[in-house]
Amino acid sequence: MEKDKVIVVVRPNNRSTRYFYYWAKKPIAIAKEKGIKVVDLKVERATSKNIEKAMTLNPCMVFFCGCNDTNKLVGFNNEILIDDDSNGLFSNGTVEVLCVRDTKSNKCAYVGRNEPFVFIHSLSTYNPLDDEVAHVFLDPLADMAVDVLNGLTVGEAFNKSKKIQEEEIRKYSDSEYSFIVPYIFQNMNSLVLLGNEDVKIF
Amino acid sequence: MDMEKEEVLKRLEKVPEGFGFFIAPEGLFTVDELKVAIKKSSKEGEEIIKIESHYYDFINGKR
Repeated sequence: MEKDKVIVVVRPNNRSTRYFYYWAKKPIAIAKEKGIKVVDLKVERATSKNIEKAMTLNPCMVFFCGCNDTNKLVGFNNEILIDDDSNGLFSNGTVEVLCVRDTKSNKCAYVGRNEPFVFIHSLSTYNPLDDEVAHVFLDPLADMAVDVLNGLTVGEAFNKSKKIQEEEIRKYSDSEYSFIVPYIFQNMNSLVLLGNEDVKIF
Repeated sequence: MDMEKEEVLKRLEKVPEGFGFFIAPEGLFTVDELKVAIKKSSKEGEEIIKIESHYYDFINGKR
C-alpha cells in the first residue's frame, strides 16, 4: 500500500470533455488498487480553488482530463483553471495533461500536446467507453498514466505510448479504418514530454 | 489559411458516414470553413453537420 502517495485527477464533465472524463476512470482505478490516495476533482469539483487545496497534499501525479486550447484548461462552469499566466505546472504554451513529480527530489515531468488535437468518434455509441474508434485515440494517454502508476519512468511510459501509436498506424493502414491513420500520426507527433524523463513515482 | 489547417480540412472530407470528430483547440476552424469542407463530399450539398462545442457530428447520415 502506498498510503503516502497522492494523485490529483481533474475531470470536468461538460460537452467538450465528456470523452476525457470517462478515460480517467482506468488510471483512477489502478491508483486505488495500489492504495494511492486519489483526489478526484470531477464535474463541479473541478475548480481552481479545489486544485489549489489539492496541491497542498504534495501530489506525485496530476492528471488533467480535457483540454480546451493549447494554452489553457477550463473546469466547471468554464472557469479557467490553468493558462499561460499560471505559475508552476504549465508553461511553454502547451497543454500538459499529465504531470508527474518525484516528491522527494521535486523533479517534474510534463506530458501534453503542442499542436491541435483531433480524434474521430463513433456516432452509434451512447457510452464513450463503448466507442472502439475513440479508444484508439484516447487510450495511449490514459495508459501512459497507468504505466507510470505501475512504476515506469515518465520517459519509459512516453516511449511506450509512441510505440503503441506506431503499431496502431500499421494496424489500421490497410483496414476499413484507414481514414483515422493521419490523425493518429498527427496526434502521436504532437505529444511532447517536458522536464525530467527519469521521474517516477515509486 | 495555413497549410496545417488546410491539411486537416482535407482529411475531414474523408471521414465516412457514422463518425464525428473532436477538434481542440476550440475555434481552430470557423463554422463556414467546416461546412465548406464537408459539403465538398456531400451528395446533396446540404448542411449536414451540427456543431456542439468541440464535437462536429454529421447528421442525417448523409455525406
